[in-house]
Amino acid sequence: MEAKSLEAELQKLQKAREGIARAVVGQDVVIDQLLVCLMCGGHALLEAAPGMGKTLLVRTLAKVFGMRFSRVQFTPDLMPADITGTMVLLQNERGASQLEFQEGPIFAQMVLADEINRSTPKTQSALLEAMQEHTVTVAGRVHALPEPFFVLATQNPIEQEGTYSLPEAQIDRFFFKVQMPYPSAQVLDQILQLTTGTEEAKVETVLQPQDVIELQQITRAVPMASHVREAVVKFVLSTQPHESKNLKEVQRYVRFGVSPRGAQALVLAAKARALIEGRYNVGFADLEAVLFPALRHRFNLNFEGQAEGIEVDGLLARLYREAIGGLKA
Amino acid sequence: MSAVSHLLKQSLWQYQRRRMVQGVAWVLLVWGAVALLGVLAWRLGWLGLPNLTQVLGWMLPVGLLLLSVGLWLSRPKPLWVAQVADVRLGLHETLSTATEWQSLNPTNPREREIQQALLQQAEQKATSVPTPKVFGVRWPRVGWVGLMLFALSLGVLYWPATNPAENTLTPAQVTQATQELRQVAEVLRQDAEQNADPLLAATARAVERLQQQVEQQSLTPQELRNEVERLAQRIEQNYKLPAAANNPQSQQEAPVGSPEASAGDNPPNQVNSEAATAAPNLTRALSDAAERVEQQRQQKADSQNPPKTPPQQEQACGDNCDDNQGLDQYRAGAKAEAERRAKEQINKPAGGDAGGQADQAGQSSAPSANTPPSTPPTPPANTTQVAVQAQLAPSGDRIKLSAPPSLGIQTAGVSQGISARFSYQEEIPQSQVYIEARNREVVSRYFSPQEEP
Repeated sequence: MEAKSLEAELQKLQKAREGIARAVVGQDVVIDQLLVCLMCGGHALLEAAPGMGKTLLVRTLAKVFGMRFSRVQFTPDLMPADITGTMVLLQNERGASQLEFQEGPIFAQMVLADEINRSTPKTQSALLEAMQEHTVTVAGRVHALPEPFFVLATQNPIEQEGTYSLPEAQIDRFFFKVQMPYPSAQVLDQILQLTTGTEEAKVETVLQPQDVIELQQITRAVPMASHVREAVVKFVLSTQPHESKNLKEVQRYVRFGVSPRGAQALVLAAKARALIEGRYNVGFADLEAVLFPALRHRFNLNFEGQAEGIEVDGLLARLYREAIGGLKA
Repeated sequence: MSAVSHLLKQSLWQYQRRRMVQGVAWVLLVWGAVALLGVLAWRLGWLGLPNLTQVLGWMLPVGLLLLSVGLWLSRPKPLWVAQVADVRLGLHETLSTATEWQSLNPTNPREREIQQALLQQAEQKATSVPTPKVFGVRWPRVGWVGLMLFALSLGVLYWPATNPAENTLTPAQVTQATQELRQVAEVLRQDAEQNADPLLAATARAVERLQQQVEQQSLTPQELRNEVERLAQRIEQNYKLPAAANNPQSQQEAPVGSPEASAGDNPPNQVNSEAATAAPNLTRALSDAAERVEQQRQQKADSQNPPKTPPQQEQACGDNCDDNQGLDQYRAGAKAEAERRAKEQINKPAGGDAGGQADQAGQSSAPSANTPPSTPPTPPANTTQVAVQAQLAPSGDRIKLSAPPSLGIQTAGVSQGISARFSYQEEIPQSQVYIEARNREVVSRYFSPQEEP
C-alpha cells in the first residue's frame, strides 16, 4: 500500500465518520470512540440510558462498514448456547440423523449484546472466549468467528435490580467503556426533526470489512515518539496504589491501578485517534482524548473510594495532569 | 527533512539566544547585588574603593565568560528542541516523532509507509509554520532588578554624606570639643571681666552656648566646624588678631567628611580614619584663637610689667623705697590704654561684628553696674543713622526692616510682605552693604523670638 492509497484509506474513514454522524445526531464523541475501538480490534461496553439510540448507532456502524450485524437481548434465562450456538440433530437426505453445529448470534461481524448485565455470569462468560480469541468452542470443536469481529455490549447504569454485575476480568476484556451522554436541547431538536418525519437518514456503505482489517493494521504501524511513550509509562505507574511516591488519594482510594493491558489499550487507541485526526504520529492530545474510555473501567476504586464518592474520571484526569501535563506545557 | 532541520536549527539558535539573555540578566543581578553590598561596605569603611572597583571590574567579564562556557556545554539536543517546538507551535509531536524516526529503518512495509507519510507531513508542517518563534527573547524581570540594584549602588556611591556616622559627633569628639570650648570660654570670660569688655563677654557666652549645643549633640561635625570658624573669626576681630587663614589646620579640616572630598582622590578608608581622628581638630581653630589671645595678653602684660632685674629692683626700692611713683604711672598708662582699646572695640562699626552686636542686644537694655557707659558709634561719612525695626520671618529667609521710605531702606533689597515673628530695634547705617551683612543665620541665632501679635 502506497502512501497515496494510505491517504485514500483515511479519506474513506473520514467519509464513514461523517455518514454515521448524519444518522446518529449529536454523538460525535461516541462515534469517534467506537471507530477507535473498531480500528484497534477491540470491543466496547456502551453505558447509556434506554432510548438513547444504542441500537441505531450499532446498526449504522455495521451498515457503513458493510459488516454482518446481529443482536442478542440478554435476559436472566438466556443460556450460553443461545449465544454461541449448539449442536442440533438433523436428518440428511438419506434419512440418517447426524449432529450439526448451528451457529448462534455470536457468529456475526458486529454483535450487539444488549443489557449484558441482565444475564447470568455463566452466560456472560460465554462471551469471554469469543471476545478474546475470536473463536467459539462447542462440543470440542473450535469454530472461528468472522473477521473483523466487534462486540458492543450495553448496560443500563440506572436499573440495577435483577442484574449481575460484570466481573473485573470480563470488564477488562472490553477495549473501551463508552458513556453516552444525554443530548443537549439543540441535538434533541435535531433528533426529533430527523426521526419523526417521513424521510429517514440514508446510510451508505463506505468501507468493507476488509478495509477495517487494513485500518487495524495501519493503526498498529503508527509511530509513537519515545518521550510520549515514556509519559504513558509514567502515568500508568502513577495509578498504582502500592507506589509510595504516588498521590495519597491513589494510595487510599484505589484498589488496583491501570494494568499493562490498559496501557496497551491507551497507546493503541491514541494511535487510532491520530489516524482519525489525519496524523501519522501519536501526540499528547490523542492520549488525552482516549484516556477516559480506555481506562475508566480498568481503574478500580476500593470500598473507601466508592463510599467517599470519588469519581474515577476526575482522579484519572488529575493523575494525567500530574504525569503528562508538565510535558505539554 | 530540510525544512524540519532548518526549523530545528532556528529554534536551537533562538533558545541559545534566549538563555544568553537570561544568563546576562542573572549575571547583572548578581553583579548589581555585589556592587550594592560593596558600596555599602565602602560607605561603612569596611572596604576600600580601589578594592571594590577591582572586584567589580573583574567580576563582570568573568561572569560573562563563565556564562558563555556554560551555555556551550549545556546546549540542548535537536530532539529536545523538536519536542519543545512541537508543544510551542501546536504540532502534536510531529517534529519530534519525525526527528526520532527519520534515522530508523523499519522492516515492516506498513511501518515504512507510515514513516514516509510522517516525514512528508512533518515537512509540510515545518514549511507552513510562518515565523517560528519557539523561544521568544525578552528581557526578564531579573534583569530589571539587576539594573535597579546597579543604579542603587551608583546612587549610594555618589550620595553626599548619607552615612549617619558622619552626621553625628562621636562621644570622643563631644568630650574633646566640650573641654576645649570650656577652656576657651573661661579665657574669654576672664579677659572680658578683666577688661570690662562687653563684646568679649558676649563672645564668651556664644562659646558657652556652643558648648551646650555640643553637649546636647544637636550639631553635626560640619556645623560645629562652621560655628568654630565663625567664633574664631569673631575673636580675631575682637582682638584684631592675625587672620585665621594663616592657620593651616583649619584649612585642612574643611574637606573632612564632605562628599566631594570623599568621592575625590582621597581613598575612603583614609576619609574614615580622618573622621575618626578629627575629634581633637574640631575646635582647634577656636583653641588657636584663644591661644593667640593668651599670647597677646601675656605680651601685653609683659610690656606693661617688664621683668625687672635685681639691680633695677634695688634701684626701684632700694635707695628710696617710697618711689613707687614710676610703677603707678606705668599702671595708670596701661589702664588708660585698656580703656581706649575697650572703647575702640565698643565703637567698632556693627557690620564688622554682627554677632557681637547681637549678643550685646540680647542683654538687658539697662546698663549694668559693671558695664562702663559706651559712647555712641561714629557713623561713616556717607551714611546716616536711623532707627528701624528688624523683623525675622518664621522661615528665617529674610529680615524685614521697617523704616521711613525717605531713608531709602526699601530700595536696599529687603523684600516686602514677610510675616514677622521677631522684632528688634537698633541703630543701623543706611547702607545696602550693612543690610546684606545682616545674615539671616546670625540674626536667627541671636535674636530672641517674641509672641506674634
